[in-house]
Amino acid sequence: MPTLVSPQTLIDRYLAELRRHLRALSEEQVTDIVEEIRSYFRDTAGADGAMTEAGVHTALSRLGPASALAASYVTDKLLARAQRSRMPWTILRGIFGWATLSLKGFLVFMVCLVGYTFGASFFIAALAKPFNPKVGLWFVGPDSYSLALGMTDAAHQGHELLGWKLVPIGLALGGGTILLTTYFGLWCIRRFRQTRQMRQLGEVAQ
Amino acid sequence: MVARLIPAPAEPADKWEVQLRKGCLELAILSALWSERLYGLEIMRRLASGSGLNVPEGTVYPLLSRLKAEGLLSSEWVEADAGHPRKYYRLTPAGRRRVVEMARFWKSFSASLDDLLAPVRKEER
Repeated sequence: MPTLVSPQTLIDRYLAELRRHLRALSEEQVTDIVEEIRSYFRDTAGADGAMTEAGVHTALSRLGPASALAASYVTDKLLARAQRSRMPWTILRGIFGWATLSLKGFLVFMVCLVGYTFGASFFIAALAKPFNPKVGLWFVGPDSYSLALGMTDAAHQGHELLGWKLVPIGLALGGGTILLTTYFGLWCIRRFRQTRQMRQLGEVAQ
Repeated sequence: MVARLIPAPAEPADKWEVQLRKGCLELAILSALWSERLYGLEIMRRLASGSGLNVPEGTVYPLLSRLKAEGLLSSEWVEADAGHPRKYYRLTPAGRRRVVEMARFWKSFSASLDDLLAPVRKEER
């Protein structure tokens, strides 16, 4: 069914949307990707250089939605970088890109965020304890019945649970949690990338 | 309960075919670039005519980007006769080594599989 929108407008809209969804990448990478897709549109034009509406629709359907195409670039780049570096920050950043795509990604991101926060808190507290004895795992009560890690204003109301044992326990628990979270994050990334490639390649068979 | 412990049936043929194509796509793209540089649409046309792989653009472009990020391909923008610039891909030395390894494995693997399939083909005739 013919529309009132010209083929060139359809292309411009697609490229603008693609650019918007690629914003997690550097400007240089974004320009490179967008110009390559623009070049593809021009290649699919007729000999006279003009594009028909039907031709544009065919090209658009073979590219898929701009958001999905952008996600293929962005997520894969971020996750590949995370797999290579194996650093908590790049893993979290990569999973954040995945979290913007699906609920599963969001859940993995939340688990990793909690894991890294928990691990880092214990690790930092263990490192800080020798320099500041007030740092500890405090039971703040009896009114609130809460645990506080670090220096707390309410410390005088409660008592410290671990004392100097915080140093070995904090290092082991913190380091172990960070390590486990890293392995979990990398395992999820590997599974996601494999599934994603399978899904994309599933289109090849059709 | 017992039924749940029985292994799942073999994968359907179409799923197996997807798995096979998945394994071959990277080799097909790298092989297409063995003797000359090509731009995206040319690579897809080469795949379709040479191996019957009709790969959607939405799959190929991000895959080319990944292969480039892995150091197997390099790219350059060239002002083409068509009147607009095109992004050409070529194999890097690491990419050439990878294709050679993949092709070597493919050859020995398909030869072994051919031996196994010989009785099946004989039966089919």
